[in-house]
Amino acid sequence: MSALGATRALVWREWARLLRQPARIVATIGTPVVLLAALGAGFAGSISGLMGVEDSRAYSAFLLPGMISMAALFAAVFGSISLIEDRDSGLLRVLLAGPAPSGSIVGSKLIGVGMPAFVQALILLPACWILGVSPSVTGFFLSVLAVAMLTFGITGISLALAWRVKGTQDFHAIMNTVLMPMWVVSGAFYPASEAATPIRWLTMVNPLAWPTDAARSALAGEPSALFGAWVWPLALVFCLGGIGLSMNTIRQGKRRNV
Amino acid sequence: MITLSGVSKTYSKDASRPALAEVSLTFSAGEMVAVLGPNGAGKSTLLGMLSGILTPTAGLVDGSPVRSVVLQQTSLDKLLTVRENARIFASVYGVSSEQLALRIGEFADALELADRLDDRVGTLSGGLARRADLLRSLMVGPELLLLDEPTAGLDRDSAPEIIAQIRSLRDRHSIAVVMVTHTLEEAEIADRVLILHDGRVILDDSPTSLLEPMRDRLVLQTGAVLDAEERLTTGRYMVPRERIEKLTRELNEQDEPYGVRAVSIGDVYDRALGGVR
Repeated sequence: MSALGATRALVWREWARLLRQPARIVATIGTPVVLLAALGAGFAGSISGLMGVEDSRAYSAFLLPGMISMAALFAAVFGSISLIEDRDSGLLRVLLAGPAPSGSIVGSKLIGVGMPAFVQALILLPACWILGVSPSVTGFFLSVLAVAMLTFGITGISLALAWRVKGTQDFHAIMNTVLMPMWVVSGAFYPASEAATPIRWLTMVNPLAWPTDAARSALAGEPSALFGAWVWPLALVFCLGGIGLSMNTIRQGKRRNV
Repeated sequence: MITLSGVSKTYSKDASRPALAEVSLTFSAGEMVAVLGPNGAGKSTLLGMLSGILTPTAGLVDGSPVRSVVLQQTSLDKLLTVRENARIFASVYGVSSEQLALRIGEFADALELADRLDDRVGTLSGGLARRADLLRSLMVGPELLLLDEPTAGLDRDSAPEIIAQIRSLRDRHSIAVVMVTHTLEEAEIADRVLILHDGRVILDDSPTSLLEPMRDRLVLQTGAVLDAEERLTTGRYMVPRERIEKLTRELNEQDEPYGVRAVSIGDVYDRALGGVR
């Protein structure tokens, strides 16, 4: 029995499910694109001098990492719903009865939801050139790394929450009361370094802000105004923390919940 | 193949009421066992123990055959085809692609699914989806097949077909089958019937042996109240053969409708539970 074979098959399944539900992709990418276009155009004449962009595209350029973060969040949430479905349909029970280590089943869920979420979030990244941001090669790859850390971290948190809720309706409630507010105060659409003190502090302690700011810093080629050099270790903590949370939650709870 | 010795299982929610209490059972290769019992009797916990998903609070589960579980509702991915579901499941069990191709070919024919392998599960009827579930479970070459109400929700034509196919697979491949069921007719074709109540095994024998002590009895069904007779459920009585003639004559005189038939496993089940309720 190969844990790798099991993981590969289960990851393939998540991809197949995603590609057979194109509405999921449209919903994941469509909303951030619409927000980016509407807010970017709406504030085009009011804000300049962000992300090294001096023209009317400055606010759109600033928004981009926040919208990538939104796409990652939506993709992770939609993907995590499949965990609730797998648990409720009994598929998880059937799989866990097999010889594959439970870690590989849980890990494959994390990769299976995280990888498509990463790709969907990444689709928005090349828009940086349209918006007047020209990252260096290193900056671009660092921003890809930041998006990866963002995606896997949020996927981990999302899967852990999905595991704990009773059904999809509860999960939507958590999405609205926990995950969306987290995104709103992550500095996704305001420069937190210049925000009022309470909001600035709230943003600084919000884990979702860490990888989002890392991506912004990498694209702009400037140190993070909020976290300085700490932004990268913090982004890594977010990623590993999210992954650890999901692995721990699902493995500890599997015998109780399946 | 797999033995449970003094196995108990208590859930933290209600420690005073074990889901299984000191259960000792052995399941052998090629044996078909029907597990009966009311809701909360411990049937699903027993299945969970045998599947390895649950660990006992006390006692020992000895043996680790290749196991496959089929639940009462289909656990197949409705967005994937029958073949894709089978392939993913086989991969989790480390089945090679050559073995998989052989098994799909063989079992898809046996389950009359050969022409539906590339259909998405979401497009299949309940009966076909149940067969697809069985097909998926067989991809791993199970030595122990655990079925949780395999005919739940199926119509009167599909249910016996599924049971016949399970029996035929058992015969040809010597798979041990443990089947939780509420359909008592399905229990009659098993090699062994296990009746659980409050986490304890109250009867464990072959259908023939369970029916043997009832040879001198018949079941009388009537709307009349027969206080002197052994009541199984409302309007159903277990009556010694020698008294049946007298009783039916009296019912005829009262112009009371009635029916008489041989004792079935269902009656044994009701009698066993009547004794412990």
